[in-house]
Amino acid sequence: MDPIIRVSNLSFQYDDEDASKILDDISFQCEKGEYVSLIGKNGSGKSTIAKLIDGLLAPQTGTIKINDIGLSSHENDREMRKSIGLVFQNPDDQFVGATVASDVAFGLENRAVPREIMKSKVKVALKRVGMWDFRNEMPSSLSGGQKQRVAIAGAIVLDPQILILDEATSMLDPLATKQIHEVVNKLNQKQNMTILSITHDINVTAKSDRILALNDSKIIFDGKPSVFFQKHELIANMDLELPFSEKLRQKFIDTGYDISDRYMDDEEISQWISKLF
Amino acid sequence: MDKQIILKNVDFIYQPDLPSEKQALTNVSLEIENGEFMAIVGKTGSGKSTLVQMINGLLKPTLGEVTVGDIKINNQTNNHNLSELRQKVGMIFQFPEKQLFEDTVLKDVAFGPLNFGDDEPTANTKAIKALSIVGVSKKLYDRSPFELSGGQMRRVAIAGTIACEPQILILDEPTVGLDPNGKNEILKIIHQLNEKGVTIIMVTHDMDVVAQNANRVVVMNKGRVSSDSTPRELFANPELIANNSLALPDSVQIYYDLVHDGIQLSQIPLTANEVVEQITQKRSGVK
Ligand SMILES: Nc1ncnc2c1ncn2[C@@H]1O[C@H](COP(=O)(O)OP(=O)(O)OP(=O)(O)O)[C@@H](O)[C@H]1O
Ligand SMILES: Nc1ncnc2c1ncn2[C@@H]1O[C@H](COP(=O)(O)OP(=O)(O)OP(=O)(O)O)[C@@H](O)[C@H]1O
Ligand SMILES: [Mg+2]
Ligand SMILES: [Mg+2]
Repeated sequence: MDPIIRVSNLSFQYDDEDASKILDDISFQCEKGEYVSLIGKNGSGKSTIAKLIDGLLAPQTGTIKINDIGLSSHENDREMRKSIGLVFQNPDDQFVGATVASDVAFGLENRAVPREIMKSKVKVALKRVGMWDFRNEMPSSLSGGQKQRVAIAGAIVLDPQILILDEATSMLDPLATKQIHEVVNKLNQKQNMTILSITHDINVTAKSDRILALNDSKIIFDGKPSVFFQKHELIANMDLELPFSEKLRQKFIDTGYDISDRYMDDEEISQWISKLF
Repeated sequence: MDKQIILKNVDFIYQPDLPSEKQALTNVSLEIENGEFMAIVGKTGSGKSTLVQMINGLLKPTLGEVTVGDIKINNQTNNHNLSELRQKVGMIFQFPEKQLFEDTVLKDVAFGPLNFGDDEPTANTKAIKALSIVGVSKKLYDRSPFELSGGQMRRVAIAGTIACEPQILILDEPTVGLDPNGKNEILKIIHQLNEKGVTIIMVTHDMDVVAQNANRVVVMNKGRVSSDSTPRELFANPELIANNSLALPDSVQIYYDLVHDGIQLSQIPLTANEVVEQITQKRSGVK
């Protein structure tokens, strides 16, 4: 089967005069229903990739295909973007409606969805993110985390085939973060929604199918999280941090303990500790 | 000891007397001493950002009073009287875009020092120093602050505040959007400022940051202070954690996993180091 996202030999720069490319001849693909984490340091080009895939920016060279249809011809753009839901890094960049409910309804209105269906979809989406009680408030009068939740509702209400989350839960409290991740996981597993998640939270990437790591305009890793976490040198070069359990495993090794040489998550490491006694 | 900041029975209502009015703080009383490193945590919408904006006079109490040094703020306070306060209290907003406005990065960071009376060369020197501390490369100095990545914007906003050398530094989720290395660097800078006597008040959802940095943590719940303790005391109270949508830091989670397996460590570990230390200690006791 064809991949749902196919990026081929893509190069991009914001300023044509500036010699430095943000993205330099990158290629990758995502299969339908995959959950992919996109990581990299500040300024490495993650949000730029998100906007390119969503058609908000156009590449200088290379192609992006969604469901095997090219993004470059403008005819197709609008059609294509229907299949993509993008949650921006800053939720304020996304709000258009006067109230929370009308904001979430905006995308549906644009697609001329009948009013009754629209209403029920908005309700479902706002309930999923725990913001139904705020439906009549102005987006500008919400707290940071409340804004992020509404922004997520605005994307999932469209039932996109591809959901791109650009640090979409960075301001949520721990419980809300967990709840939103459960919502996303469910969309991924039950509806086979393809997820492209941009995050600095290494623990979140651990649960994805695949990690794409961006550094110095190139993709320098494309593979399973458990494989990535063992590449300590690569991680250090990327200014990344190891997950807590991996740091702890390293501390045990440094202190002279005889511990497995492969990656373990928190639970596995607790079990290993228990056996010491 | 000197109480540097006192909030006394503070209430705050957004849009009072309108149908949309909303009470964001209810009867909040807090005393903060010089040189503390205080974290503020709590569910989204619990009033954290509102609370910290009381301390630099950006919002004024609807009822009650806030005292910072010898400056008093209540609902009668005139904005003109607050410039001394703004110099004393530096604030990094939850959304960095909110505090960026100049047409270049360098000008943006130099704005504060200039505004507080430095001449241009001094202001520029301070700005360059602050920018290099937070890891913003020279290549970005002449760029518009709005043509930056999210993490770069955050760094510029932080630089703009520390360039003003405030005595009290308020940070509203300062590590959001920073890459892990940037996060560690910024936390290190905050620590260094704290060691030099700067009072730190940090809003965060990151329990590892709380465990590893703060000496005091206040939990907000529906506009009220629901707990005020050391991080170790907070994490010793799983019920309080659950009731406030919080989580345990990884090190503490491991502590409880071990308790579940019948292994009791002497103290709740706040870092990976402490975990290894305590296990080693416990094992030598076992032998
Ligand atoms: N509008 C713009 N004009 C010019 N340069 C830009 C613009 N937006 C971003 N850049 C630059 O492009 C590079 C990539 O930015 P991008 O926002 O994609 O990074 P990112 O990986 O999302 O970083 P972060 O983790 O900080 O959000 C950065 O160096 C940034 O300074
Ligand atoms: N400008 C405003 N007008 C009206 N209500 C507001 C405004 N700003 C915040 N509120 C409301 O006040 C309450 C407290 O908001 P605040 O921003 O202080 O929360 P917070 O604890 O910082 O949350 P978060 O963790 O999501 O940033 C929320 O219910 C919010 O909806
Ligand atoms: Mg970004
Ligand atoms: Mg807030």
